[in-house]
Amino acid sequence: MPDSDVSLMLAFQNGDISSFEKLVKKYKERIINIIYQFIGERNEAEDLAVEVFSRVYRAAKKYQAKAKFTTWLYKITTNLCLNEIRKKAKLQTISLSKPISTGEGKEEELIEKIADTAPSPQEILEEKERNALIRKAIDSLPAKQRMATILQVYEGLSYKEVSRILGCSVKSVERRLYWARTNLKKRLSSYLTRESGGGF
Amino acid sequence: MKCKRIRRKLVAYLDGELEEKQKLSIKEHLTKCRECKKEADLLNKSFYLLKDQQRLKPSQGFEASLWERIHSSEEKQLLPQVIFGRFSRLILPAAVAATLIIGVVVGSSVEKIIPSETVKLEEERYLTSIGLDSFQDLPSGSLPEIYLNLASAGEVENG
Repeated sequence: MPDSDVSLMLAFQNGDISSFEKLVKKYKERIINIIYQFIGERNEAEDLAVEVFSRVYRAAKKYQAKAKFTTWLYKITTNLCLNEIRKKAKLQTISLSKPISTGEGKEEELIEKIADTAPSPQEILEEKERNALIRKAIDSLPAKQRMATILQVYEGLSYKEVSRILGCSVKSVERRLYWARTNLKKRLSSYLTRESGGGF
Repeated sequence: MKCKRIRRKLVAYLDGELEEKQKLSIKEHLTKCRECKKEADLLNKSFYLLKDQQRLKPSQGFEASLWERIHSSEEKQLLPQVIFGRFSRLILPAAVAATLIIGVVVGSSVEKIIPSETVKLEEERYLTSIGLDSFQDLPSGSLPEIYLNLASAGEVENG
């Protein structure tokens, strides 16, 4: 079955701007969230997502329909994220213990809450604590483990797809995810042992 | 399989990335080993804890920001071409004129920097170095000297 995204990209290559707009509409939320999970800051995530699609636009002439469109798109995204982390490391401004946004003010309006009923103040506080704990745990992972986790957990990609995007072997993805999940489990253990359920 | 080896494969097992044979052997092990089962439960919970994280909605101005970025990068790319294309006919005459102006400016600056007296002194020094400062008159009694004497005497008389 031909990849409809590839068809859109090829149509865009032939000058159909609306095809590019369709791709942006379809993937903008995913790209913003991948970057947000990696970087941990909303405005920066959106700014980098703009850069991702701007690169897609500029690279359209060179685009070749060799693989799935998403593989190409996620590759651009991950490269941009990893470069951003490197830049920050060079500037020594990175902080692994960076607190997450508490969702105050404008940002709170823009965040889609998982809960479908109005939460009580106690529940809001607990959710904030939980989010902060998870954010800290994700931030503590080395960049490549973090990106592999984001692509696999949030985007539901297979190990093979993750390996294509990160440019490494499937075995390497397996190792990264093993260590990532083991580290996360340790960091979240206080919360995990409190919670119940989640069996399989 | 030993517990250590099982645990190394637990994440791949939970993610559904193992071959059928490995999957079955781990499944069987988990029914017997309480510790490995507990480990698997915690890993599984950590997966869902991550998955349930808040998701952001793109801001309303996302597309507008994107087009702004695209247009500004296009303008940056086009700017040198536009400038070069518009003024390409003027480049050669402008270069010649610039060279001439630079020549004149540099020449006049050199004169200002090195006064004419200094130039004269330098000239004399040079003549001395090549032996022209001690240029002797024509040897006495030689034909050129007689000719010169006669010529200068005639000039005096005529004058």
